[in-house]
Amino acid sequence: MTESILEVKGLKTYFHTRAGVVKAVDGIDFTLGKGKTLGIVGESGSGKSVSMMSILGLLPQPPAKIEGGTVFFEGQDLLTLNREQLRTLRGRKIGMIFQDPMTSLNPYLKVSTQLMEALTEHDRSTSKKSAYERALWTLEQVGIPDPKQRIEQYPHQFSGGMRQRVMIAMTLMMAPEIIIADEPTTALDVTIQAQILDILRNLQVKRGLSMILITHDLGVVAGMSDDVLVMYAGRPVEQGTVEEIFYRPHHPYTSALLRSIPSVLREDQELYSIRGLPPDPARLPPGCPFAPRCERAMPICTQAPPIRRLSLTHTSVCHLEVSPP
Amino acid sequence: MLLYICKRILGMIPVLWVIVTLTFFLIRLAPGGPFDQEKHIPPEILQNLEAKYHMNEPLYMQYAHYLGMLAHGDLGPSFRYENRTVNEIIFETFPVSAKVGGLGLLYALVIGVLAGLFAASRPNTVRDYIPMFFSLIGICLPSFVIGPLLMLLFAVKLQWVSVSGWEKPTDIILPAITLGTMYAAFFARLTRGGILDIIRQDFIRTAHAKGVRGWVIMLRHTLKGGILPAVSFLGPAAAAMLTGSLVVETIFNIPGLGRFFVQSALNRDYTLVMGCVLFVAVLIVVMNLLVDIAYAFLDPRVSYE
Amino acid sequence: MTSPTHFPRDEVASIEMGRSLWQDAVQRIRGNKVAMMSLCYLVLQGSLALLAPYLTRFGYETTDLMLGATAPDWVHWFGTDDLGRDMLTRVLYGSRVSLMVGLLATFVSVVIGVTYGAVSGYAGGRVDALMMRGLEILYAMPFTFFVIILMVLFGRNIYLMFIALGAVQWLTMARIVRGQVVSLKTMEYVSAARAMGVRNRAIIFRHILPNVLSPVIIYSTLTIPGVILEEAFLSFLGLGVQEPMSSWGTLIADGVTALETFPWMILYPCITLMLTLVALNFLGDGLREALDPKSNGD
Repeated sequence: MTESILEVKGLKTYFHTRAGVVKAVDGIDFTLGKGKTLGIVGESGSGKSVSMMSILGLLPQPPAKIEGGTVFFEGQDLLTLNREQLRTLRGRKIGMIFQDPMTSLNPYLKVSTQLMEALTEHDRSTSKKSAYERALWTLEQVGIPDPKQRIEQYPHQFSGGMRQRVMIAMTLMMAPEIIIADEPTTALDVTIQAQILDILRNLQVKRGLSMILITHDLGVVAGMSDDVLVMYAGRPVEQGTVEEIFYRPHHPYTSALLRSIPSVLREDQELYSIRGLPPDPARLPPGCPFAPRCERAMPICTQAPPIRRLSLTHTSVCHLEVSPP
Repeated sequence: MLLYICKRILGMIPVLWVIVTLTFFLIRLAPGGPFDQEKHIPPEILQNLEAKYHMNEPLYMQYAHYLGMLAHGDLGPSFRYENRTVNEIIFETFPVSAKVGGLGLLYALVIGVLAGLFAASRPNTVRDYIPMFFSLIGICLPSFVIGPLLMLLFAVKLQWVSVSGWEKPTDIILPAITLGTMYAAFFARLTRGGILDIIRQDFIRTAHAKGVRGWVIMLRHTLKGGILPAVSFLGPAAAAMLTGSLVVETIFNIPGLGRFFVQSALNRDYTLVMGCVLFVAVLIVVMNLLVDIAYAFLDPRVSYE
Repeated sequence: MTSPTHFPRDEVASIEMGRSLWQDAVQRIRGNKVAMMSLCYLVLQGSLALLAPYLTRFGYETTDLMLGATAPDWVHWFGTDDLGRDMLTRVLYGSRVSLMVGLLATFVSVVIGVTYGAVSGYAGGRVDALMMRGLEILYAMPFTFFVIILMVLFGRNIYLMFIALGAVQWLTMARIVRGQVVSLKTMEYVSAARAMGVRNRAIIFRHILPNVLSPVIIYSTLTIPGVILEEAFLSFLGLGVQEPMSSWGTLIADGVTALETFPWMILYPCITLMLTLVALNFLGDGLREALDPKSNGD
């Protein structure tokens, strides 16, 4: 097994709202291997983004509160760091790319300013000139044509795909160990999606980056990830290697997600969709949160499901017995 | 940009024309005339007076005559202040109002924007509640209460400045504060709201994710966009303050434009009323143009090409 | 200085769903203590003003020159003015005028603003462009001056004041309503109604106006204090309410002249005016928070 770079254990993030306590993330564990990509999959509201933002200290507290868990990175628990220690870590060691490139870049500032500060805020001895050159170089790296001219422009002068490239370039201003990409292609056209994923994949290979890829698109996961974590209503449902999840899914939710991928090979079939809606996170059903929508639900599902270990890397949280291979 | 400014200036002409026309006919519609109070003047002198001011001509002729004068930049002679033109009166009184208004505006901007920033830096804490409490008082306390209170405290009790009048350079301080307080309160609220709006945007999260320091985010990322609501209020605020507040000028007995205006309306001094209205209207449209230009500098997405 | 303040949107949005918008709003404003206290104060103030004739045994114009100005005591709780008139009575009667001006002028502004904005936004095209151009011209109008002209030239009539103040306050209302209408017009249910052949007027009244309601309510709550203040200004300049009638503006104007000698003459009208304006502002903020949770009220 490869060396791990990030280990998350029992992470819990709750929101204390007027409507009650919302358990946005309720005990997830995962390990990110060095140089590997972990795909985190789930519907919106399943706590994917919240867990990542908890790790980086990007959530407003209150109403959010991290109620428990550990996040080990380079021998220290990130959850015990103070605000300033976390800040110096963000961007420098762990870079993050967000979903909507239209709103994630500051419309009032030039691209050059936004790129350069990703470097100068961490290394104040850097001269303006070398920061500017670094910025030009990163734009080139992510395949922005004519960077000398583009760097002086404002975000609104870029197309969506180009903006996402700028976002990626921003994480390259430092040399982070981990990049967290939160739905990096969801807001983009299909053709552009492929380009952005290509850039991310190349970077990873070239620099030996580790990556966490958050998405609700299993197709993206299949092409990019080594390991997969499936989440539902703030809890882990199943995790394993890409092969295990795609070819030997155990949890009914994972199977349902896989069946809902449209496929050209099965064009005769009707598109599958999971019945019902995701539960209200403030009022989760007892036991397995997926049970009300599950096709294979049993009476016992109102009790907390056990963690079933299917292999060294494959676990599933479900009452269903493990069928012999 | 230059083309845009030219276009806007040309666009002002019909706006001002509508205002002039409206005011012209409105004041003539009203009962009473400029020479009503001089009942003892003999009819032949009255006739002469009316001829001098073209009052004996039909209304449309008077209107045409007035527009003709305006085209030459002439606001005409005052009906009540003999041998003085409206241009002269405005040029004499406007600087007085503008001085008070300018200082008041400066005070309002500095205090208001700083208080708004201070409040927005820690929303929903004591640091937010205290400046916002004062801004609410500023909005709800009319200037005709603030003025006399300041006067009582600083002029009567402490005797730091004179009670009222317009002789010493220090005479400007109390009126400026009186005038500016309400605007300072508005600026504080607008700045706070604008900053809080920006802080919620996704790009601020991006900046945090890059590891940018808190105060750099405040100054570099939020200020430019967050100040925009205050900037758009700056136009009407500047126009209103520079042309003189009637109340403040009355309280402190300042010979500014505002007082002349009320007096001119009471006197049915047609040309002076028209001149004041037109002058203020010009100031408003010019201020709004300046604000729009400032907008283009602050928000790169706004372009007037 | 700032802490990261980001909800992942979908996570939070899903919490808020379930109840209807209006129920939600009512619940939110009930939970807002400051807004509820303000509402209670305004109701109290309104009823006191309404019942003024039954609450005091003095007339607002009954002078008692022998008495002159007296400090507050058990007979005259708020003292008397220099003509010996009971200040409590005058403040109560003044509330009637000031509150009535605030409400009626705001009503006038709502009627004009909503009609203008709705027609402009709904008609679209050339009509809209023309009407917005008209609005732009009116924005350049020096309105304080205009109200003064009206008041001076047509006599100091209290009903004229309602109309004049209301007529200058509707511009922003029209703009807000138009913006709402334009964005609502393109929404699907309106297109659906139109496809089904519903007449224009019916679309405006049945579909668009109800949705425009919340910004209108919010903005009018904030217009009322503005109008009350304007009336006070006019009365202070001697252009508003005339003696022996009183409004908060005239009472404060009287009080200013006796600031040093009879401070209670300015104190009570001033406190009443401020409390009312503060309460209206808090109520407006509360309504905004309740009806439009996305805005930055909190």
